[in-house]
Amino acid sequence: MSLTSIIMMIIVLSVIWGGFIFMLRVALRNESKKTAK
Amino acid sequence: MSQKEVFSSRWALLLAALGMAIGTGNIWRFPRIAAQNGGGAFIVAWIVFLFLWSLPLLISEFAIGKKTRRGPVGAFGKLLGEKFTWMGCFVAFCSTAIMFYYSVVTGWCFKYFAAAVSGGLAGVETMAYWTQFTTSVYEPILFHLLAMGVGAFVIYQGVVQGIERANKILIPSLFVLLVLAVVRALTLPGAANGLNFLFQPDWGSLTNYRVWLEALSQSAWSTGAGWGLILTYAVYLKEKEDIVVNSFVTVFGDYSASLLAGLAIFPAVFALAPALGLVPEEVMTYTGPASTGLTFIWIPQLFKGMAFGSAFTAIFFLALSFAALSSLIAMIELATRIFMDAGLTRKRALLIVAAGGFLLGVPSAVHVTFFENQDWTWGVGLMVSGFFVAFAAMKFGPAKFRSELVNTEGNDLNVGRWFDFLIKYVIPLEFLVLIGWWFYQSVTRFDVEGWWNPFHTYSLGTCVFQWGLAIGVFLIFNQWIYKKTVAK
Repeated sequence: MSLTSIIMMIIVLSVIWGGFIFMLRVALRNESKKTAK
Repeated sequence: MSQKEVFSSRWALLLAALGMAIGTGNIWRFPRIAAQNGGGAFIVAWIVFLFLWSLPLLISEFAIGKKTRRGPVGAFGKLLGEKFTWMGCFVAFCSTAIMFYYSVVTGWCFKYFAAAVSGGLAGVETMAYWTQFTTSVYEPILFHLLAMGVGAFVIYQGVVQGIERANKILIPSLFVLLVLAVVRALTLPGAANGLNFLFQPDWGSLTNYRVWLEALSQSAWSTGAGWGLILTYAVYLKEKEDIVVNSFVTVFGDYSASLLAGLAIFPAVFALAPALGLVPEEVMTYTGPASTGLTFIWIPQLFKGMAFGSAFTAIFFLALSFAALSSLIAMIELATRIFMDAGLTRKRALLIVAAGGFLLGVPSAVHVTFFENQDWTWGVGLMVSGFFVAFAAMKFGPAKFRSELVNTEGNDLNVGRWFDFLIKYVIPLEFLVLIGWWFYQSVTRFDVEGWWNPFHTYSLGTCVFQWGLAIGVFLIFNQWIYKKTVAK
């Protein structure tokens, strides 16, 4: 695998999977705060 | 209108939204389109349209559904007034017309999963198997009936007991199956070649307008933005439910599933194809009848050649079946909601939708050409549908729409003025370029001789004829539909 492909893969997966996990955490954390109130 | 049915939790809503978005477009279409359009560079363009098409449209749909508490037909009438009800009808009809043949596709997935489990795919020539299956008439109809029956059963149970429960099983299972497939594919010798092909950016291809347009259409097809499906699910939001973060989760989750599918399919094809004397690039880009080439013809063929190949094939088709079913459920709910808005009970509305959906899907089940025509007509129609959703926000006033409908109490995150800009300028421009390109392609490439002919499978004429017929009927009955779904 070329270095460019590896860098590209890391960037793409970080943006998409990172974005998904981050937003999911925001959603579920705020939901549990609302439920706790 | 008070809404009795609501999603019981944020988690349940998110799983339902992911179920709506993640479908065959992620597992079936994404790898082929990415391979045909330059791998890494295509992925860059595809990510750009996550932000410039899918996200603003999903936010708009969430906002419209939550505000109006009606399916697309009533929502357009209530938000924009009587004379725009026909637009909501078109949005709803586009998704419903897709439902007719999507149920057939879901049936194909069920059939191949059953065949993989029972060993029916072992030792057969996969092209001949596919041809025998699709020309047998009874089998595709039977599996179409099964798919519609399962989908209708879920919808019959209602939002909490049906949609929520189904997606709580389907979506986590789908992600687990995809991860299993990725692990198996990445441990094959030669898998790195597939990853290299998927992520190697050929920056020169970004100057090719076709790559950008394919990226936009893939984003639109995959996320379900502009279909009216998430608008329908938004009818069941709690009063203080968030809109923006939920939209982000939906699009990022959908894209994550596509990448997982890519990480499973590219390495597997590149690792297994050479042993059969096949060129991996050709296998990845082979379209085949009704675009089934890679999924239904090559994948079963290739997976036979590896250890635990039958199990891997079964996992693949089970994941595909789950993805298809979760989207089919959303389509059935949309159509059912329209009749419920007109005053019918869920049971009666569903009976009409399921029976009508089955009958109107039969032609696609028995004639691949009819299927291809419907996929072409209503697939392209989704561009129009997406534009109508943006038009609704535009007509309402982008700034007013943002402050009154999007940035509401309960949001975890609010959108800024960038949203107005996207709705007002970027989406209309994307729509004009995309629809113009499709029309240009259909005249110069898809059907040069008969582009005007409404009875040709891939003609411009067939799109204009069928869309025109639908819009004409909706305009004639516009007032009556408005009275039934909004004014009553």
